[in-house]
Amino acid sequence: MRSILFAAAAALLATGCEGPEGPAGTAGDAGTAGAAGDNGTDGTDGSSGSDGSNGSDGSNGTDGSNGTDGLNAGDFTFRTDAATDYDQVDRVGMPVVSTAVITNKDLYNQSSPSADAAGDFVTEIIANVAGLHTALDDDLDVFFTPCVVEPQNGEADCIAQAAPLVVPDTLKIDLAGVSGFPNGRFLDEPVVDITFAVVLLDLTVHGVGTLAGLPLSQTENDVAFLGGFPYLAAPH
Amino acid sequence: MVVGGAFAADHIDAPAASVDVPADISDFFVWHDGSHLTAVLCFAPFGVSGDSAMYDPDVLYGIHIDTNGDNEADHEIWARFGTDSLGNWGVQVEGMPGTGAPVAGPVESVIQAPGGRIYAGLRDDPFFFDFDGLTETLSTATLSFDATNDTFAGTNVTSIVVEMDQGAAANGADNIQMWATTARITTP
Repeated sequence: MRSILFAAAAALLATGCEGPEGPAGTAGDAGTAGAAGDNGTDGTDGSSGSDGSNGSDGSNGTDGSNGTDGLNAGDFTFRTDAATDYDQVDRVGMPVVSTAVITNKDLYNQSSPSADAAGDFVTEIIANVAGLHTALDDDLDVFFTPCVVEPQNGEADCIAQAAPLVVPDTLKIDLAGVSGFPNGRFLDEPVVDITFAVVLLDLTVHGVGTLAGLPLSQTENDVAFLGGFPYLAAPH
Repeated sequence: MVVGGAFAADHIDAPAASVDVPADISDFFVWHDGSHLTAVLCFAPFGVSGDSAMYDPDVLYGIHIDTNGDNEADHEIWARFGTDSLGNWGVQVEGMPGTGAPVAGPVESVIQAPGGRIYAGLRDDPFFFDFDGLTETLSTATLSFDATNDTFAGTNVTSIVVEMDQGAAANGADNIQMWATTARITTP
């Protein structure tokens, strides 16, 4: 209490005329910082970045199917070897000759008309025709007059009848005559019946078509032939 | 009943020809009509429905014409088969009477040729006959035919059809003779 009294007393002693203002006081210390304010609102989004670079290419897809072939007009290739570079396998002139009257069929098939005419196969042809007669004459006698292989009494001679047809083994064509087996051979003719008639029957008594006219024979192909080229019917 | 000693009834099929199917000739036909001579060569018989034609590039098919009666061919017509770069079959014919260069074209089509036409392809077998009856007849020595049986019904063959100029084929002759052959290349 003594300091306050003293200060007050000093103050009373000091009163008099007001003096000039004193210098300013030194600044006070700064106040403590205030608390942080709330967050401000978010800023707007930035613009898009530039595109990334392209990825690597994927693998190839599968090939598409081939287009349809164009028509090929002929780059066919064929052998050019001479005929003498081939070995003969088969030959046919008259139908059924080899089957019915030839014994050595492989040899026959590799042979030729000139060999036929030279008589290479005459012996076996005669033997086989004789064999046919020996086997079939008793059946033939019932309805027909057979020819004879070695006639003794002027009977029709089978070999004389048959030889011009089968020796040489070729199809004979008389171009001045009408086509019809044994003048050539068309598709629809009963050639086996006709050939057998020549080999088996007395042709002064029977026509060549005798056996073909029997109800025992096939008379036509299972399928009709075409009216024009190439004549043979389409395949099954 | 005695069958002739040399009788070959049990050898109906010639062994070598029947095992080489594309070279096994089943039939040969020839006819004339005044302007054309037509020859048909059938091979590879007993083809079954659905089977392909028997084209073999190593076989040479021949049609031979003797016009002067010496039993040697004066015309030789040769046919061969071959393929193109796509595997299609074609036929070539050389030696058509009256012409020079070979003629070729696809199979199963009519090919125009100088003096006529050519065709090669799979066809119904034109032969009709009770062949079973013939076999039976020859092996039993008794007539054994059956009118209702056509051994070749329903079967196919491969055929070459050649239509040629009659005058060129005959060289002016009235009487000619013809035959067909097949041959296989000696060294493929």
